[in-house]
Amino acid sequence: MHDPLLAGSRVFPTEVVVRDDIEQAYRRMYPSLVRLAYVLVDTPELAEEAVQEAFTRAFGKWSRIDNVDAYMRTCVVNACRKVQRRRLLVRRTPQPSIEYGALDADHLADVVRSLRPPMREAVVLRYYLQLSDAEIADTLNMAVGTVKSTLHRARAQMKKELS
Amino acid sequence: MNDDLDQNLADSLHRRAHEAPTDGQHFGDVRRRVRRRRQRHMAMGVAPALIGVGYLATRPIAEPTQSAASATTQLDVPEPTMLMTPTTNYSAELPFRCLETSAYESTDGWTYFLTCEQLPPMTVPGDPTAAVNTGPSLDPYTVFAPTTSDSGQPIPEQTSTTSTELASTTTSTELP
Repeated sequence: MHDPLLAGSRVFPTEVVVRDDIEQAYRRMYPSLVRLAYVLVDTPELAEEAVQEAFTRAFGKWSRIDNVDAYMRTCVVNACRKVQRRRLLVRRTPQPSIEYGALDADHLADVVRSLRPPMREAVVLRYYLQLSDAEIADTLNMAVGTVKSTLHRARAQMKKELS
Repeated sequence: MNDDLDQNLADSLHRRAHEAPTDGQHFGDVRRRVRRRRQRHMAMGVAPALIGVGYLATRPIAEPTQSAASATTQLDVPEPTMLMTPTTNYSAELPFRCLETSAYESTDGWTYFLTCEQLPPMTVPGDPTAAVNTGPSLDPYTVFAPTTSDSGQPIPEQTSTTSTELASTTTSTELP
């Protein structure tokens, strides 16, 4: 359950410039980013593909990146979005009503998977990476108000799906 | 109830995330992707450049008279529209060449003539087929009549004029 990258992102504020060699950064960040991508695209192969594509895109401009963690997080989310767009996969699995406290965790993940891409990304960044509204807005290139409304709508939709 | 949902969501997402295999790929794969990406980008840049160079190398070079015509256009002098049709049928097997253009001004505008001549067949020394000349006996100098004038009005078709008839207006060069 403990993720070193998540712990690191809690320790270092976003203003701190983290510079290291891209290969070291790859070794350090790869597991966390693959997990993030896996939650977003559901397939290990596509998750690895998305992370590799993100590092490939960042390779040429690595020396100019200020906040590597935030940059790579955004790159991976964008790569996952591209994968999802390519697949055009919408899964809707109506389930019987269950009390929230007694919910099966995997069932909840399925409900998250049925959300539309912007809502799903916001939910994952909020509940998996525990990012603030401002950090989510920065990652998804949205206004903070849009993040709040997106999360609100996602929560309402999940409740509707679960009821 | 919202807290329960939030906590369950976080637990569920963490559990799902840790199902992902994280020891599959190495940084060499990224390097390979970068190399492939650069090659692709280079190919995308080189192909249009090659097409451009090929076009520049093979494009038809403008004749000096065409340049003069375009220069005239820049001076806002109306350029006559000419649609030349041959008034004499040549043998397709025999070559001909156009010698000069001539023009005169009339009430309808400018009228242009193109003086062409039929060339004798090419003879190569020692060629046994050179002695055979089956082409029709034509007047070597023929003037093409114009079909349009400056005002754009179609000009009625004229019969071809031989060089002897136009000797006073058209100068032709005798072939050796």
